Amino acid sequence: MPTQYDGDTIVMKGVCAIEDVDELMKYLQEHPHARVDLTGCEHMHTALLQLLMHHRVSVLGNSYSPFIWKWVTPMLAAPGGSGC
Amino acid sequence: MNDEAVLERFLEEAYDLLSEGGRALLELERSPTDVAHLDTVFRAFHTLKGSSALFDLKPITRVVHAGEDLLHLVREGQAQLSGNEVDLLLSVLDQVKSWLGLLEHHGSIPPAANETAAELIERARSLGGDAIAAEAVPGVVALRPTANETPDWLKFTSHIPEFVGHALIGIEYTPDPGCFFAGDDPLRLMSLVPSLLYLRVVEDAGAADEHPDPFQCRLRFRAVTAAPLAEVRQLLAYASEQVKLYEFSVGLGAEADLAIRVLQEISASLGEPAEESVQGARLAANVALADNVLRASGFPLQWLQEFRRIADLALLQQDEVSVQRAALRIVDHIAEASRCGMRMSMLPQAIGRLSRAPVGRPTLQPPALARSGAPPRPADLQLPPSDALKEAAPPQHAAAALPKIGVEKPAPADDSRSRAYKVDESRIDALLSLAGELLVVRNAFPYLSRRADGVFKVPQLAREIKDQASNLSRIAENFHHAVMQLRIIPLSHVFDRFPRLVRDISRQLGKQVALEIEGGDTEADKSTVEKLAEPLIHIVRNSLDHGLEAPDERVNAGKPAQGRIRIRAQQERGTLIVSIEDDGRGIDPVKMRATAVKRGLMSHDAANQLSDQEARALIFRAGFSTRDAITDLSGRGVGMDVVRTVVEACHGSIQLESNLGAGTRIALCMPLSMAVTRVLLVEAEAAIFGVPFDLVRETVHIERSALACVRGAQVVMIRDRVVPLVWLRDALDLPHVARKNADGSERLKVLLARVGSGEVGVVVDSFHEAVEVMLRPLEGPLAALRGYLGSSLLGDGRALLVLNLSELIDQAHIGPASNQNHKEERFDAHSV
Repeated sequence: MPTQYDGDTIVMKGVCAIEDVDELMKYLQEHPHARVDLTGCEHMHTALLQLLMHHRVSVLGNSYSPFIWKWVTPMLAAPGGSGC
Repeated sequence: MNDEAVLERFLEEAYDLLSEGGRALLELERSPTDVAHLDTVFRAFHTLKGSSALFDLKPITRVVHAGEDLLHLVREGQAQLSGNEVDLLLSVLDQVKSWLGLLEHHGSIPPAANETAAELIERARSLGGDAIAAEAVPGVVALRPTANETPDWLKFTSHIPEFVGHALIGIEYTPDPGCFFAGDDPLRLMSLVPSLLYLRVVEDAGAADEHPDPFQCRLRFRAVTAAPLAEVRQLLAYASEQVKLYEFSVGLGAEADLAIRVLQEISASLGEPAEESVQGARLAANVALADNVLRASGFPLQWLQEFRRIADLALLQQDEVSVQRAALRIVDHIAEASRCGMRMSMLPQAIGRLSRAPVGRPTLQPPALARSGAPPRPADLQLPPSDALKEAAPPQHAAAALPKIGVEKPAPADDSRSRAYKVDESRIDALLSLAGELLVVRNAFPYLSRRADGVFKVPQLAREIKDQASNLSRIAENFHHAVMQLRIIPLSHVFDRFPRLVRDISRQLGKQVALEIEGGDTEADKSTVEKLAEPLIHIVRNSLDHGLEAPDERVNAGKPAQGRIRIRAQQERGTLIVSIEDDGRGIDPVKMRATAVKRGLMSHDAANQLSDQEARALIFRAGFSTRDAITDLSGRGVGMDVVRTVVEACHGSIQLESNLGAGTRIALCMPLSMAVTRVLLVEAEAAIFGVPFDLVRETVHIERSALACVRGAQVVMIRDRVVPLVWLRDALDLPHVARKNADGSERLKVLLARVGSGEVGVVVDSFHEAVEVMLRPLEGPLAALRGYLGSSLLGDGRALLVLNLSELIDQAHIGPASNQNHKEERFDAHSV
């Protein structure tokens, strides 16, 4: 699975699809202070982003994907998700 | 910066703009052809419009927009700026000010504001016609909106430098909640948008649930792209139901663009590798350049201060990165300000000035200025690098001006420039209070020294205490003086409101008035200046209402139709004198006496006993008004009573001078500082009291036989003056113990004090030294006690009550004698 779990850290690698949502939700409920490592993340499904934003998960590592790095990371790093 | 800080900054700037605009408006009314004033007023309205739009303060935006439109017509010569227009524009500023007050204290503007705004706009339209827009245009100009209205978030994005000068498309994408089941991935779609300049995702309603359904899409996407519309349409074609597109462009203004460029170039040049020796000079030159650009461009002072703070430290540490970052931060500021509509028209001149600056040291060529390419950005800057900016052609004048900056070095930063700190007022007050306490504690040392000598019989120690005490005393006094300097403000603080006040009232009354203000730069303690405001306003209103005659009446009296009011401040011998002079009808003592009788203030006989000067001074009595019709201006004479109360509470005095038909002059003499009060200690029936030293004229010993009785009141003749006497023990109702002076004489100790415009003798048992005390108002149940100014502690720890002589004398029903020997009392500050 592209989305893996290591202690308090969610590691997203490659393209993370909507199939990972159920597990991610369960994990986030059990680990309220989880962080996400996006280093190897190429894309995440909107549903995953929605979950991460909802749980205010902060980001570890910068993605190699310019889109994730430029636009998705700031939304997660900022509390509340909204930048404006 | 959080929302609160942003709002705070907005409020601060808005208040500044309001007062600046108001001032310029009054100047403009006086000289309608003055383009500089018109520009100032216009800029104030324009900037307010832009910045209020940021906070969704629609009523404010709408009214200032209407005002701006009206000003625009005036600028274009399509409308006159007469009294009515000025009235309206002032009303707009007033209304905005009151809304800002509500916003500041309650966090919002009441819904009724919309109606008020509509009324004001209607008034503007009645003056300027259809050229006055009924609705405000948002900060972002929608070229051809594909949707109905530009959304707020788009307005917020318009400060992003990469947006400048481009046709942009705003995308608002609200995916269908069930879109995941249809196989949609909105984030993926957004990642495909070409030339993406901005993207934010917001969580929609439903997010408030703790565990919302993860398969329902609650996200909304907001994006800005520089891609062509057709391309964007094509990409989003199959989601077109859920997408709104906005075409827009952001006009930052050529000058702002130039400022940004200069600062970016500075930042870029600092990153270039160079010899260490060159680096230092380069840094200094660039800091000075940025400093000059900022200083000359009329930006808010705090930006300059912010930059200098960082730059000064960076210069010490040769830290180029900090300066780079500071320059880029200011770039952000400018972009933001520009979005608020701030004009930077000063900038080109500033650059020109720089290029003409004398060359002091070898000229430096910041390398990047000669190069092209986007400046490097520090990692913490969240804006994505922009291809668009690189491609943008620089404005013509920018291209011409930039090389000059590189060739000639600006003057080095002036180290002697003053820095200003913004400190909360209460902190200074706390400091002052401590400084005052220190002075009071110092008062304990002479007492201690006396005890060391007299009680403990150690004269050596007493001497040493005395020596040390004098050092402490010197430092404490210097300290106190230094703190007082912090609180000193110019009188213009109060004077600045008079042009408006006089204008409004004179228009209301149909009188023509020229106001002259002198000495606005005279400085005094903040509390003195602030306390003066109310009395001054009452006096000026009174002059306008009662003093100055209507134009025809003036002409009949052989005076120019336009009346004159002169407000003047000066400092003399530790006293601040503020005088208000008018060339009106003067105060008629005959009328004053009649009114006093009519108002039941005194009997006919008593009124006739009054000298002319005493009769004139009646205007300061409570419940006095000579005008038959009570206006809403000076009302029922209440105002002038307040003048006396306030001035006397500050240990000041009032001088009144009036010539029938020629005018009136009222001078308020106030002590410059009110923090520490010097009091003379007097004793009555074994109790010690303080009397404000500046009220004490002299202390005399008089023979009991010199007392006389005039109409039931005891008086004494002192140097041809009849002075009423009051016994302190009687006035305070102290138990009387008969006693004689130590030498068995029958001499009375009398304190001659200035009360109101007269003089009174206070009989006491003995006089003691004068001391400086921190006067504290009486609090709690004691607050209702009349006759006292306040309390303080003496050096030996005893409490001291300081007397309010005029209240005591009112209680004792003895009027102070005014100087009857001068029919026309000459104004003389030295008599204080």
